[in-house]
Amino acid sequence: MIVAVAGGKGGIGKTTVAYNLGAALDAVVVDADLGMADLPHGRGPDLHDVLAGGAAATEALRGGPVTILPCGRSLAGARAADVRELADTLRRVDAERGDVVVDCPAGLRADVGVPLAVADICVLVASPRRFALADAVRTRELARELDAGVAGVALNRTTAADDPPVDVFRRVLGAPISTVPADPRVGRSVEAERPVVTTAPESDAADAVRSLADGVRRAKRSR
Amino acid sequence: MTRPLRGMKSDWSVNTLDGHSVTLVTVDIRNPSPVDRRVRVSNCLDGPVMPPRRAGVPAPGWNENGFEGVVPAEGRRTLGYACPAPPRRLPVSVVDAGRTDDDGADAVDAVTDAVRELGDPRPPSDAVPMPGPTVDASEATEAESEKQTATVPPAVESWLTAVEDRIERGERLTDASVVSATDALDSEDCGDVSDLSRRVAADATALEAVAARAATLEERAAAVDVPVDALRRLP
Repeated sequence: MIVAVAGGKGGIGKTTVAYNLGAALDAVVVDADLGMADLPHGRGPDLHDVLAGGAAATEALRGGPVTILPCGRSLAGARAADVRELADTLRRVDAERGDVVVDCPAGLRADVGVPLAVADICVLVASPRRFALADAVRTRELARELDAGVAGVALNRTTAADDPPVDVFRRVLGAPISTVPADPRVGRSVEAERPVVTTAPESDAADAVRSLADGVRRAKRSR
Repeated sequence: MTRPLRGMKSDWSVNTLDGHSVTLVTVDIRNPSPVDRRVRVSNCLDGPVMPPRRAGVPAPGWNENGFEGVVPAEGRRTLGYACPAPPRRLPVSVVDAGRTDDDGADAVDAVTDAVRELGDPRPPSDAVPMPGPTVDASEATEAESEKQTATVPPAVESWLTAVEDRIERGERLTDASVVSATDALDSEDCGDVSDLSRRVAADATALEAVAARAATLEERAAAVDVPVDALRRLP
């Protein structure tokens, strides 16, 4: 199963949600942000090399608490990468390694469209603010057009003061909402490669990630 | 020129671009019948089809041989493509492939569609530093070396990077002052250090072997001269 983690706006924590969701689902997390990669990058080939035909997808996988397919960070690499190859790459990783969570870039261009087109379902990430709803709806429309149903919505980095508009989001988007609290352990989890579901399993953040993962599993079963 | 075509009619015209060995082919197909008809347009010039593209993706219906699509009932369809070859008397063949079936024969590929409709996400080429003829000497060397790294296969590159890393660690400990050696040792795992000089020595041997092999292969590669044209003329 391929799960796309998308949300039109940048800097709202798509990568953090994708990484932690990947841990909860025991999936490979693919950093599909071809222009501004976020997931830790080691040595060796990366997604840029794979999309430019220079390496096989499985060669670029990088082990750890969560298996990652990292992406390069150079403009030249982003320029040489053919986004159409991303579809085959995701399908291949899915076939060979089981579930795949794709961390999509911001915006609504083809680098979001291609993962959504091959994804079975998607998870939307949004700021816990009313004005973020417009962006979430736009991304949902694209996902719908490309036949990727919404398995859940993460309202990311909520604080007690926020009073997140959960009901409005649920009503408009028609999908279960998980509020991921602004927990510093979540913020650090990607760089430290310490997913909250394993390092802080009792936390509210881990609960939220697990509820997203449950939504994904339910959507998978009902397909 | 008009050619009769079971029910359909087509005209073609060719244009050559001055100073470029490229031919632009235009085909105008008319379907006077009261049903939609499928048509197959194949390039007859001696070169690949360069179809119209959106966001780098060929427009719907185009492939490397030409175009396949539907001409609506009592309608017309005008197509055009480029081909890097000289023009000739009959640049295209148009085949009437019969009535269209209503089973959605124009299967859509969601991925190709997404790229075509949403636009190429790659950074514009102007944003990518490229070695050009106008850069000055120091920049040129830098760009050149970057370009060379880029063409090294990933597996070799990752091995070389690992070797470079070990050599750099070794260099920091070579002829170091007490202070800098202490600093360097601070950032090393002490168990590693005894092992480091042995590994760097092994790296040196391996690098020498690779250099020798690479030089031999380079000579052989340079001597290769496949008579492409002659071979192409073989039946």
